[in-house]
Amino acid sequence: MELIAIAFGAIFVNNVVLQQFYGLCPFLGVSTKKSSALSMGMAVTFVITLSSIISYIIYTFILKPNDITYLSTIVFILVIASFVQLVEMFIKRFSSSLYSALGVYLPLITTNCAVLGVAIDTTVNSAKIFGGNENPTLMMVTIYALGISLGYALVIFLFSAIREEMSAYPIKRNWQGIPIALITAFIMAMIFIGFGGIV
Amino acid sequence: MKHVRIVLALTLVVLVASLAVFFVEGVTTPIIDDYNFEQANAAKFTVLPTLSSSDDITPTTAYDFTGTTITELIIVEGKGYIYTAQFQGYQSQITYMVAVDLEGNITGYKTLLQGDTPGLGAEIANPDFYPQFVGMSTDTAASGDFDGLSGASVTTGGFKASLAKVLAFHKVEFEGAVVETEAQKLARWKQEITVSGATFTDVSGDYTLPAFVTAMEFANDGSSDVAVVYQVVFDGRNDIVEYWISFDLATNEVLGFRLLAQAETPGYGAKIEEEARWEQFVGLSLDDALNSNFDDIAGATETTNPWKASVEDIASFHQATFVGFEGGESDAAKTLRLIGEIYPTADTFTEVTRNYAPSHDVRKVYEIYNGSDFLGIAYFVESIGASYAEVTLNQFVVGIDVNRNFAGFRMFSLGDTEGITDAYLEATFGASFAGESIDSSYTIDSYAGATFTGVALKNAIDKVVAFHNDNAIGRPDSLDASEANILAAFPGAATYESIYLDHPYAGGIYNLYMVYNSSAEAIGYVYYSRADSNASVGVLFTWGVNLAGVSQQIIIINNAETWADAQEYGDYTGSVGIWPNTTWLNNFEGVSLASLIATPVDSVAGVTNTTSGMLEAIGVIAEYHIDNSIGGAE
Amino acid sequence: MAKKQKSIREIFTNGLFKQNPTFVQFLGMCPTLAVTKSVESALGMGAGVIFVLVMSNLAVSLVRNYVPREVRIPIYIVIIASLVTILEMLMRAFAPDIALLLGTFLSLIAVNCIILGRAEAFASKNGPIKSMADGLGMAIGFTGGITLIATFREILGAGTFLGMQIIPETYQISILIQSAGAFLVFGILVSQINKIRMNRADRNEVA
Repeated sequence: MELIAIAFGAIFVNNVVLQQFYGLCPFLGVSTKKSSALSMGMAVTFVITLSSIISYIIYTFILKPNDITYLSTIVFILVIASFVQLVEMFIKRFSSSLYSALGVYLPLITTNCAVLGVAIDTTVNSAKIFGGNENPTLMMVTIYALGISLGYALVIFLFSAIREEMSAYPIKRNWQGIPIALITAFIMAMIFIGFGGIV
Repeated sequence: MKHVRIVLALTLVVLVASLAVFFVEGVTTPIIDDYNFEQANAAKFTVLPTLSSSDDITPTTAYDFTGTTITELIIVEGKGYIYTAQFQGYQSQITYMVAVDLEGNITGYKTLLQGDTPGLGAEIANPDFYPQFVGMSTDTAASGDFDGLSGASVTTGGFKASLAKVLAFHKVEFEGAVVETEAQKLARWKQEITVSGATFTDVSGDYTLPAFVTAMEFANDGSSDVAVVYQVVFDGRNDIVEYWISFDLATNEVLGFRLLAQAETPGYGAKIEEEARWEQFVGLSLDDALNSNFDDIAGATETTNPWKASVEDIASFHQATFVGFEGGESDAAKTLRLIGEIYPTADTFTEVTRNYAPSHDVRKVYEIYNGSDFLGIAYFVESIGASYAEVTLNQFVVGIDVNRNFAGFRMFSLGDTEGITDAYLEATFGASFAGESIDSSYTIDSYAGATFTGVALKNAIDKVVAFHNDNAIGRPDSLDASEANILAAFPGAATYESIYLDHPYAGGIYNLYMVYNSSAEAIGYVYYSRADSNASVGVLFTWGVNLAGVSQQIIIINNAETWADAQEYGDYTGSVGIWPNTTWLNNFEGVSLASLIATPVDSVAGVTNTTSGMLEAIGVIAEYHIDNSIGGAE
Repeated sequence: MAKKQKSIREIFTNGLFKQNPTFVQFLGMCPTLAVTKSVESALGMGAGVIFVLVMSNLAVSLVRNYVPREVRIPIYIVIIASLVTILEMLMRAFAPDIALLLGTFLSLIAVNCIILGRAEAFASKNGPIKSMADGLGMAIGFTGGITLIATFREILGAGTFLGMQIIPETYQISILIQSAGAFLVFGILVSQINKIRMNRADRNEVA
């Protein structure tokens, strides 16, 4: 039951983009077309979930016992960067179709705050998101990471669908592009606020 | 060479970076630790103003804080007690510090750590929140009688609960408060839900208690019995739930509710033990109790539903037992009496309303039994009347027996114009259609001057029949013939399956099977039925019918008839043989069912009991087969 | 094509206005929306970014000739991450309230696109003094940008400025303080700044 609450909270209530503000650059940048948004969403899900798990393991078994948690930022970034690099090489070699769909987005994800943010939130700052629990289990972290990335994919897809629709309409020059996208995001964010009462 | 350069460069950079980081860490960590320490300590001075830096502030290790939410206690000799406690707020763990002096008053409060919603739960850290606690007595604080956080009910609730636990601990350890034993608590509860100072008499033996009432006591206020306390059990989601509920014997209002035992899911059904939920029972009218008009436990329907049903049941019992004293017959008792009139041989009525989807008109459904024999169904119906001026309600009880005939009808109350509609209250009205099959186009009497009422009642009765059919109610369990007998009725059949539940029930037809050949193709049907006969057990037989509606074989399963040779007893031209091998039965083999209806076979004089019975049963099957288009038969 | 040598001053002001990271380049979006709930946190973030960006530009510039191309990105990342870690520790020691206020976003400065972007685009190709000037300009431009947004959000949303009550509580537009409001304020501001820039561009063309 608690896991479901975590998942629901991660996808809707504390939505990664609209509430926590992670992953905004690609959100605004890669959301003009539904297909690219979908690819980005899938790539993000993959990277966030796996790197959260890896970061959690490293944090719990290496950093914390040796009291060097202040190295978390550096270690996580290197982990994420290497991981993404490995994945990109792997995909490039074994599936060119997957690469043409996802591959371009992977390097972008390396500097995506969402990945590092989730890694830090589930370890160093875990008390904040797991209701005071400073020692979440691997299952809780995985569910949370999955939920976060699904929430991200959901929102970026919805957003891209809206933007695709909007591209057919005339908009004043100074509002075109980023500003109108931000207003759209504002409305989406307000809708998601409604989820706060459910969990 | 290039690779060496790369590795060298990387290593160098990493080394330099690490050194820089380690250096800064060495410098800053002590400062950070100091800061955290100071923060925590500064709070201590704030909450206990009499504290001085010479006091020993080592936390005590002498106590077990389990269940109190206390994380630390500092006993300051001669000055007071500093508690640090932690509870779960809306979205974060909240840590606070509260200090109590030696006189049992709070000297100060401070929130240390919280991560809740700004403007809502986070307001617990707003310094404006703190001053109200200064000078507050521990009793007031423990009772929660102070301002919470507006708009932050979860955080406020958690906080008040935590504070109450902390202070309860304090009272026990340092103010010599006596902890109430379980027995004392129960005794106190009993007084609370009846009248203070009451004495109790167990009267469980004086009444026939239903299974869900495990004890019954009268509460006496010194001069007379004023209330009754029932101990009730019901099946919750996980396990049995037990509670006390008390009724005022004069007004029949609910006086109170106390939960005794439950094992429901924490956070869901377990909320039934929240004392705040019991408040709503105080002063609850009997009517409201009968209709379980009290708040659900949100998100815990599997606990809430049986809880509500249980309260309705105990209210019914109370009504049936005590409200009758006033001289009037309770509705429940009247309903049961009327049903008893419709089914005179019945000894058990089981209400099964909950098993069926609700209907506007059908309010209650009862299964009627004599011993273990299922007799039929009784419905308590409420329908809109025919009055012009206002919405009236007519209530009646109607029975449909196991053979799908009307068992009877009794008007419960008529909302339509008195005087004009009295005829409907008479027994003759019910008798006008009692015994008729609900599958027939039955008619009911209608009385001049009140024909609209008659129409309304007919509509209502039609709705009951529809409800009866739609919910396939009142079907006794289908009986099974043996495989040998089924397959023998249809040569070429290899396998079979019962399809009776897909079709309406017909009295006399015990089961209906579809049979398949060895290639698993459907080839036809086999009926398993009973015919009235000379012997009281009747004739049990199976009868095969193919997809074209042509009968196959008829297999007589039992033989309890007393006539053996048709020729000896009857004038049976053209047949030979002893029952059940008589060739008279060939009349039912290899013929289309439609022809059997068109030109019925004659019974055999002298053995009419058996043969007429068989013919009737065959007729029922043939008509059933065609009326229900079994296999597309027209 | 000859590159026009920019003066230090030009490099500096470039980051302030022409290539303002917040309103022109749209880099570093995450902190822009997240820490602008109050002017205090915006200034705190700005200070942190100034520190990291200037130092990282300096460091990258110093090693630019010795770092092989293939590993330059990982090396920049190591430099930036270490600087951020140092910043975290310094802040927690000397300005713990701000560190708490910024929360995870303090660590996320390490993946702020501005810093890696400037390292790659400028510091890897220019001398240390110029790189520092660029870093300072960009960082101050960023700080100015987010402080502007924060000013609107805090004054209109909570009625305060740096914690001091300016507008009475009853006139608050609380949605601005919540996450959704960030999008709104930022969107409106960008549209207005766009208008100014477009008018200016039009005028320049006509002239």
